[in-house]
Amino acid sequence: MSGALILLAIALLLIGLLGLLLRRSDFASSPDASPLLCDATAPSAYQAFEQRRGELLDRIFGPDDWEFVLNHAPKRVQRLFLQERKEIAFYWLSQIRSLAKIAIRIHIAHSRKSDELRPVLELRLAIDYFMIRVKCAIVAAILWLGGPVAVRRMIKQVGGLSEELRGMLELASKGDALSGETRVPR
Amino acid sequence: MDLKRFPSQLTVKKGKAFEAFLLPCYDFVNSRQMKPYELFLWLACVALESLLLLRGWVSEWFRKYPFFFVYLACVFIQDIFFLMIYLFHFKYYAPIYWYGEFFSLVIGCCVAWEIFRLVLGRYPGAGRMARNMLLFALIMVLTKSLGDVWNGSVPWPGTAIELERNLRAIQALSLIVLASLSAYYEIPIGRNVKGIFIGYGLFVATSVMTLTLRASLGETFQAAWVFLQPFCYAAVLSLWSAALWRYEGDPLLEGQPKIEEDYQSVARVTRKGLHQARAFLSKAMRP
Repeated sequence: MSGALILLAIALLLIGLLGLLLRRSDFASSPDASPLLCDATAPSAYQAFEQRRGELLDRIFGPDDWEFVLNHAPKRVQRLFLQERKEIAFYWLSQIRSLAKIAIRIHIAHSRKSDELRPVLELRLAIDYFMIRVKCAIVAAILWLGGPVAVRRMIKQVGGLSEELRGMLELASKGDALSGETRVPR
Repeated sequence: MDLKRFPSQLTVKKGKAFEAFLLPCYDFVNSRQMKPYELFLWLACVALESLLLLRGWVSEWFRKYPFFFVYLACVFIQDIFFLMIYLFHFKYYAPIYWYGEFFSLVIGCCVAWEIFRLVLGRYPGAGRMARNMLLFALIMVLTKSLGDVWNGSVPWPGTAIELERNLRAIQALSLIVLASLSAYYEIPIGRNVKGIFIGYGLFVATSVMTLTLRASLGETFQAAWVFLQPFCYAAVLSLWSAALWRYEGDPLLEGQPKIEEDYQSVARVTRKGLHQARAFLSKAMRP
């Protein structure tokens, strides 16, 4: 039965991919558009991003501004503040996404014609890109649910949780060692 | 092609029939009357095939897509021949059906190869990637299948349905590799080639589905199979007719990048870019 399910999954996957191919516009992947456009826009995108990143990150995700607003401003201003920060955070996230996309598109435009293409390297790059997209999706979900301040708070909590877990594991392993040491040999 | 050959009359009968034919364990109970919709679908498929062949002949696309048109021509001849056999010499239908089916499967492999050539022919990098992935997938599938057979967890395909299903599944895997690579590398595909690719892919996918369900569910799926197979094939033929009705040249071959860069340095730059994006992301998430 599992064999039949695998075969059905293969058939459905093929149908899905063909649907994707059918939907894909030929203009979107028009021959010259991607490489040249990317070559031209990439350096400026990197540069602009590099200039803004330090300032942006701490303001968006840091708790300082939020704590100030929380203590000194009325509710309406707090709501407005959170809403605007959320929008900026989403914009920042889209910048990250487009940065990764530009990088991979430049690569694709060059590598698809290359004779020296290395499958392992290609796979690694594809996984890297995929992981960035996944992380972006996770951050976007947290942003959407709890706002920009929640991102660091949540990461902090997860970090704390993993620290606790590590501590517990260490304790447990020490306990095992201790019980091993205290065991009276017969 | 094979689809409209109405497998409804084939009933599983292990034993006697197995001795008569190399693979199929099928035999006819008796000749039966063809239902009107079956005859309609059969004739509709023959009409669509002849239309496609005529179009190919007039526009001389025979030269451009030789295997595809050879395949269509073979299936067209088979269909007419099978219809005659079905109507006038019904008892020979079963063996002829399965031998015809496997013949079509072999030519179908050539069509798959032609689609690979048409899509990736001008992109050696992506083509090389496809070959490697395909080889990897085939080795994995064969190793797993042989392992399962060796362990006895999965029996060796005992019927023609199972064998055809497995071979179609391998074709489906190769088309999955092609579809994912052409999507990932954003390979531009012309309207005609895209039509052939999507049509053939759909045909293979629906064949895998119907054959799997027929092999797993047995007689309970027979009634649905009788309708679904020819219907899917007629749909595929309609898609091909629409895609090949109007000629559309292949997309222009892209020019060389402005700066000649070797693959290694491009890959290095890409990795750097991706690492940078990941570092920004991590910085935002750092407590």
